[in-house]
Amino acid sequence: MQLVRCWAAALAVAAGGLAPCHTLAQSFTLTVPVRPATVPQTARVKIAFESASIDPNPQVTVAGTAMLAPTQPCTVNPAACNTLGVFGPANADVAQAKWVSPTRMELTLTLNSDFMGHFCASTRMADRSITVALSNVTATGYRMASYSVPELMTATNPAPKCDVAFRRVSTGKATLGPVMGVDNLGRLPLDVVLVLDKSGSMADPLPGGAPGDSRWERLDASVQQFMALYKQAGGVGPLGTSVEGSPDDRMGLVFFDTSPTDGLLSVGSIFRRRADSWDAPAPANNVVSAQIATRSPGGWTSIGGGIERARVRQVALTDANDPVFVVFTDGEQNEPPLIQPDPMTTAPLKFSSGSLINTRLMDLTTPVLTIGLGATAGPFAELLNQVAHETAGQSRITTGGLTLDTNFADQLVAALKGNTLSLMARRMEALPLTGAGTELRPLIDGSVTRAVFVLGWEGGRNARALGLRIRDPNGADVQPVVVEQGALYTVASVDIPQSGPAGEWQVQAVWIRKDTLTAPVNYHLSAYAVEGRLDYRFTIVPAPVGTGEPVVVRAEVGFDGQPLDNLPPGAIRIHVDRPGENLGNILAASQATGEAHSENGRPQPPVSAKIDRLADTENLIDRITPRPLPGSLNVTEQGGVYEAAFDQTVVGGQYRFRVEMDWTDPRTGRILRTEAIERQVPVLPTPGATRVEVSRHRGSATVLVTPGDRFGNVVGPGYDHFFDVQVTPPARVAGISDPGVRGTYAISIVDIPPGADPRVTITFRGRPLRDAPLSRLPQGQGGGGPLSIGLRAGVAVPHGDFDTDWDPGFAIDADLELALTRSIAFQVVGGYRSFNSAAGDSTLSVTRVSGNLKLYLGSGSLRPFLNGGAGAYWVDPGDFSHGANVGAGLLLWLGDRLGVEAAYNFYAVQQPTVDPTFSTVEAGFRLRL
Amino acid sequence: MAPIPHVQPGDLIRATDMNALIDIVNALEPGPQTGATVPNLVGRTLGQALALLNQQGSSLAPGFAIDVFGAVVSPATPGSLTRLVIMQSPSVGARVSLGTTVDMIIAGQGAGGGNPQPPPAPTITRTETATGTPTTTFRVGDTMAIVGTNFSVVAAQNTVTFDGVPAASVSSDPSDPSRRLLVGVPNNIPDAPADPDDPSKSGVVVAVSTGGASVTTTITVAAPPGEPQPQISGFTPTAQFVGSNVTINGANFSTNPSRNIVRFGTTNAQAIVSATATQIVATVPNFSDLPVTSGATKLAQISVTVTNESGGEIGTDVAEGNFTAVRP
Repeated sequence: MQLVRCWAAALAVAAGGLAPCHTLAQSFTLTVPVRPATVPQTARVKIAFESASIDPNPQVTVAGTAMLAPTQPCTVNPAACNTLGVFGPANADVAQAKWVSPTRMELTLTLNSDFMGHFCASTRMADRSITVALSNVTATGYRMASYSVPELMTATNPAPKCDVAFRRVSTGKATLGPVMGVDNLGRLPLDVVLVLDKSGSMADPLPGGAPGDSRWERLDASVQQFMALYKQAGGVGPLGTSVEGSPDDRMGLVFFDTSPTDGLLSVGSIFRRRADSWDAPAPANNVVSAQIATRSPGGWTSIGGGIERARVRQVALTDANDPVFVVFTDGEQNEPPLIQPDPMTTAPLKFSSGSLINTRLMDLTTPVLTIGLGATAGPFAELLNQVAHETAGQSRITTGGLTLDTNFADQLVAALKGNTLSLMARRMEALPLTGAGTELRPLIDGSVTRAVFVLGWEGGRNARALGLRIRDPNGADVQPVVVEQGALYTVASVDIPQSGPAGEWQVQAVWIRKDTLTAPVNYHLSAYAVEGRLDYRFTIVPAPVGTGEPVVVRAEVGFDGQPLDNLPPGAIRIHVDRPGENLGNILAASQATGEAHSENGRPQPPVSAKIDRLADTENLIDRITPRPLPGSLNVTEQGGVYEAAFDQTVVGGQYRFRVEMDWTDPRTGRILRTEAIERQVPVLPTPGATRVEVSRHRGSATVLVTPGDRFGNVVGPGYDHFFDVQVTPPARVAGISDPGVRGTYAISIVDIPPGADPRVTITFRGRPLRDAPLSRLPQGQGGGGPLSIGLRAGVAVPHGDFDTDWDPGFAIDADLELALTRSIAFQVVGGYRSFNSAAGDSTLSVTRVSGNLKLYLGSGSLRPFLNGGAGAYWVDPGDFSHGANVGAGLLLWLGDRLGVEAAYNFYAVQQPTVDPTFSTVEAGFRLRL
Repeated sequence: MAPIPHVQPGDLIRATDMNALIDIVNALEPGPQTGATVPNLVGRTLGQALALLNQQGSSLAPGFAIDVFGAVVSPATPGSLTRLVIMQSPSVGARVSLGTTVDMIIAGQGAGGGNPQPPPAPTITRTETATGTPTTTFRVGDTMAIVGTNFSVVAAQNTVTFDGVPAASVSSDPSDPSRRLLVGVPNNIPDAPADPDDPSKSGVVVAVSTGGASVTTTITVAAPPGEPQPQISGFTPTAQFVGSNVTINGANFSTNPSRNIVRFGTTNAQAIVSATATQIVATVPNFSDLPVTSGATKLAQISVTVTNESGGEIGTDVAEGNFTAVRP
């Protein structure tokens, strides 16, 4: 039925006329602000207009250009609900109008004209203002999101994703000029997919957990808290509307072990809308918990398989929202499809097989937020870190315990960034058997619409042991507007100001049941804010980072959609936690090998086994845990973008940047928030700090490489796939291994021809470590190197006047030779010659010590050479004098170290009477040391 | 029809007479059943000339045939059918009434009669393009002209080879059949270039034989012309939904859709809907990196690659400006 809502039509009807009914046009002004030059500009804006109903023939006009209007809702006729138009300078901008449902019209504007060829290069110098007019659509509210590319193109980040704007803009978002009666309903809906590891290792005990607290049980508790926070943050608020998010938000669930499986949250689907019921039959708290409860850990680990399945299921949606994947895993991937870089390099990550084979992870255009349970450094942690950074996601890793809970919750905050959820305060401690926990005192300011408190505690026998006590700033106990209790968690919310006034609230953990407990219980308590006006996002600029290179932390802060610039000094303080020790050094120093199988019989990689062993015996986890450094970073600001650089990355491993926001500003009042982001800093080896040692054998050689940096960090084991070794053919690399699991990699070179000296080029993460002939690399025990000795004997033949009195005799020489290059050598020669007198009644000896330069010609095992030199000569009978020699010869290598040599030399020795001149023809052998 | 009387200056002409004149003139103009054009019989054998005049549909009839000595030549006389017509009346191209007879003068026989003399040895003066530009370089597939003397006016009697390979085609220049041959350069000359990038082959021996002696000349054979490169002049619309069509305008596209590869960035078009030499209609592919959310967009440059029959690339052109793909 066509509604008569326009007064003109109503008057026409009242007058008996037949004028068609058209509702009054609504005109909006869309403003796309210029963002600071250090961050990408908004390239796409999507607006979903909500209406009580949409009349036939809805019209959309953008920047004065009337679009071809959709004629029917998609629910009626999918072929007629979606139209495209162009507008703006040179008609380069694109507008899409989609009549999604009888009550919703979506408008997406892509602002191509503000960019040069791609979305990393913007020409926008001023705020862009665009008029949007609707007719026959009486919007009552709208949801909106702005999008940009993840990062700009820089020298250190030369190939970001520039052709698709998919990252939601946090601050400096586009705004829609206010129209009476048209409310901003919040953000556009999201599809958050949990991708959970259920491989066999998940049955292992939780490192640092209470007795009986398994990884699987902890994961269940963590996910429940995640879900509870998700539901309560987006629950029904005091105005009867969603506090955070949209009823059309969806949660998805995928498990993976050897292969992925669907976690069916709805009939035949891994997804469930936020607005739908999440209840499940007891004892499960909700449908997600019910799915986890029906599974048990087993199998191998295929992270790629899990992500691929999430992607396939999300793409299959006919009404997909912007996706975010939250990936949890506790072990290194060992089952294809793998997520791996191109061989020997670090980026970009690709799928190794499956339907997405060779697809770059970044080309999923989906932020992937990773949560790792394991060592906070090493290949496993670095991979998860890289997955997140290549996809504009975030990475968090923990060795276990309650931080798994907080990591999940924090990743939900990250998933919603560009939206409205943030962390106000957190406490982690043990609740003593007597009394209550220390009060958490979050400052809940007036910009917050809802506060959600999450309490989680360690498992084992502690089910339903703790609860929450919440008091408002006046000290009055407050009943939360919603509360959810699980075996190991409680999540409760209060609304501001309905539950109490803005101010410093008090929240603490209290005992509910401790009858059988005999020890304090570790717990965490976090306070989250559902923001009404404040918005911020902290990121680490995704540049290749390693030890010795700076990490840049960037914060975009906004309030009421505008950049919050010129905050008071010290408003944003960033503290750094740095690893206590480098994991590689600990692993290199220990000869422990670990168990080939975990406690539940699961085979595990040698590196993981060694880490587990050292975690038990040498306090490894604690030693590599980031520790606070004194002071805070110097923060600079430009246009509401705050940046700080930390360059003391002298230890490899996990760095944590703890952000404290605490300011009082006329625009915002008092604000107090906290945030933590993490970044892996791998060891970047340098040639000077990398140990290399060669062992040569017949036809082969082993090059031992221990990559290290100038700070004394070694890379450690588990990085053999980052090596790229090239040798001169026909020699070849047979393999690279780390037999001792200590980060000393054995590069096996075979098929070396006799006497050959193949050139060896070793790179790690694309950085050259060595590039030299094998003989020039440092030689180890039993190897052959640049030094050799020669021993020759033969005849000595006098010439000229010397020949008159003396007959030929014998000669013997010994030398020590140092190869300066592949063709030039220097040798120190000692020799003795003896000549018989022509009369046969006496002998004359010539003894020499000479320095010679030797020029080798050709290559291979037979090497002709020229030589010449000078030195001291003793002639007996005669004087001590000097002389010179010049000659040529042949050297034939019989093997890697032994060769035979023959040489002719001519000698001229100065003497007071007759200058002896003679030649020697000698043969002998040469032994490479 | 009664004879039309002559008229004198100052006479009035009756309409009837005038119309009769008009009818006669009209009968001589080309058109169905209104007259005939005399064909060229010169250079043909008597047998060919008779066959041409007697063929079904011909509106003319053979007249007398005499040789240059005035002797009547009878088709029944052995060897007469191979003697050449050297003159005819009416002349070639004349418009005549239907049923007109064509008289022929036939070449004489040598002494001894009966056995025709071997044709005189041809000579080659020069080679030139079909349009008359002297040159000695021709591309494979070209039609070249060989100018000389004593070529057989019967094209089939001229044998032309290129390094021993028969010409692709041989015909006599109608305007000068005995002195100008039009010859197609074959594509299978040994070692002759095949691709535009191949070097030319010089010293290719062109031999012309008219049944007896032969004469040769040498030419340079160049590669056949490369196929024209595709060119994109524009596309429309500049933004389109995934799964919908884009029209690409330009030139030198293949009319075989399967030989046009349309790419959006690095992704092939979902389908080629149609293709002409100047226009391709292609379907926007479902990019793997285009977010699945409705309204998501991706910038991509459109390119067209035209391939040959074996799949080899003839050329590629990239359109100026970005195309915007939109998720429906």
